[in-house]
Amino acid sequence: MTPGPDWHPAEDLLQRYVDGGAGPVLAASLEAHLLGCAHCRRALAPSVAPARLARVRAGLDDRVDAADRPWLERLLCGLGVREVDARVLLAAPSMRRAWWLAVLLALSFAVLAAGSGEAGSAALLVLAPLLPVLTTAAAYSPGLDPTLAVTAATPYPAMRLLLIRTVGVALASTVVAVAACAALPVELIGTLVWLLPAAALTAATLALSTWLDPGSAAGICCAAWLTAVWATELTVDAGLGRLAVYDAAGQLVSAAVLATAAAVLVRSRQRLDRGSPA
Amino acid sequence: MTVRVQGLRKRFGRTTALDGLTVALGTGVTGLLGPNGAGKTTLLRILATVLAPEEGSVRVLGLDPSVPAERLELRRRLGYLPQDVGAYPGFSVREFVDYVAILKEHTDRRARRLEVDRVLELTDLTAKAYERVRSLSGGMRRRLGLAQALIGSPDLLLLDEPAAGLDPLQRMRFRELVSAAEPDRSVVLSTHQTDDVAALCRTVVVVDAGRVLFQGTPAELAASAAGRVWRAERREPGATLAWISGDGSTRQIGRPPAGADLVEPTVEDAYLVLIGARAWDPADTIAV
Repeated sequence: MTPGPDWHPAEDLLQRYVDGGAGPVLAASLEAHLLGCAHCRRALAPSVAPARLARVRAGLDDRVDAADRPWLERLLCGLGVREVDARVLLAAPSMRRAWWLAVLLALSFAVLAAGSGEAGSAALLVLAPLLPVLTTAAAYSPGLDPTLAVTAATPYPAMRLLLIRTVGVALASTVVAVAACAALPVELIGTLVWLLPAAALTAATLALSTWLDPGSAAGICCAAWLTAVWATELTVDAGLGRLAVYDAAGQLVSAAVLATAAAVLVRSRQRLDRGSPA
Repeated sequence: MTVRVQGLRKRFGRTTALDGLTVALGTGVTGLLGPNGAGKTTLLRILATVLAPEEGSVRVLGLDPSVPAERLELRRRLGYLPQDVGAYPGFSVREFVDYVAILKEHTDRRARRLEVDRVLELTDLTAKAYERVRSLSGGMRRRLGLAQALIGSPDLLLLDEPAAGLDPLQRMRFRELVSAAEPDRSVVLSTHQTDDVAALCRTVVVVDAGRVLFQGTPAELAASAAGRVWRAERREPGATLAWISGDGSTRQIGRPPAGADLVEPTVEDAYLVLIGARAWDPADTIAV
């Protein structure tokens, strides 16, 4: 330890500093001295109220924490998401991978659509509802989450974790898909007919995930969707440039699937808990 | 009793991991010894509530993990270090511990920060707090796993091979950490390190093929091999295992010849007698 300086501030000066009445210039000067003077730090210590010190420390830590938080977490908190939920939502790299997957798929679809005229537009509309399904499965697939065992042993509800991540990733991929559809040469409202089927397929994937691994559940739902599109195109004439599966009857079926899948998910939520007896 | 399991069975496909395992464990540090595939990890996963058994009853801290409300309560009171503790590689050490603290219901940011600081300090990771997980060595990742398990000072710590990858100094630090746990807390650790068991554990349980072969104190385990360990100049026919030790003599385990130079067995000797005898000569198994 190097020896301290020869000069030491008077006791009343130190006391003013402790009481918060030293003013910025004098405080800065005293702090510069205190940094190098163990004698004055020892003299000062008994006068500092521990509660005030803790308050100052906590305030400093808050500022450091705030600067350290990722911009996306700050954005979500700004939108009213609880800090802990934002942290949980953004934690898993599988989420980041899922978002990248969403962007990649949407861009691929858009390129496909732009390059293939009407057929491409139809293909984009057929594939758009599958985007949230695939990214949702990727977001919580056991093989993609290295912390699965640690997470499963905590009291954080498995259903809540699933829903937070699903809503996050499905919303993000839906926004990307809507943006891709907006590039189609038709009215935007006409390109959004896939939103309800997308919600139904995502909910069905989650419900099936209580029995199967998420990848298999997503595969079944995608296959069911493509089969439904193919079957309705064969049997229903929706008119030129329109897909029969998006007609009123198709939307009603989607709403029914959504409601059923949500009910199944709620009823079988205990099965999401890996420690739950089979 | 902290842990009481009876008739536990668990299969993975055609492999039987637990075959009617029954054991009761009290407070203090308990070591689970056994060869790879013996069922130690499966037992710890069931105790940690991340896996459900097919048959048998489980009580941990007096709670039944098959009942949702009791399972939730149990999760609030335990810390678990899995064999393969996965951490998000892009996270910093602090971010990962903070994330697990959130999952463990530490929702108040300031209180959580203090708790994260505490466990990082306990595991000597304070200086590494802002390093990315991907840059950590195997030993440091193990300490990170230990740090997350210690969040909230759990009543029961379940540690699956906690000392794997630690250098000798880190292992001593780990022993300090575990032995400093308050007397009314319980630690169950699975390990291949017999010297850790001898140094740390109040109770040792030897598991093989999904069943308990031995339960007692480390001294009792060592004593169970009395008369089975001897020294000679070269390997003798009755030896199940023999190796040349540092002093040039051959340490031998098995059925000693008449007049053999018997030596006091260690925990490792006794473990090898117990497991080795079963593996190579079933007729030679010691009754325990």
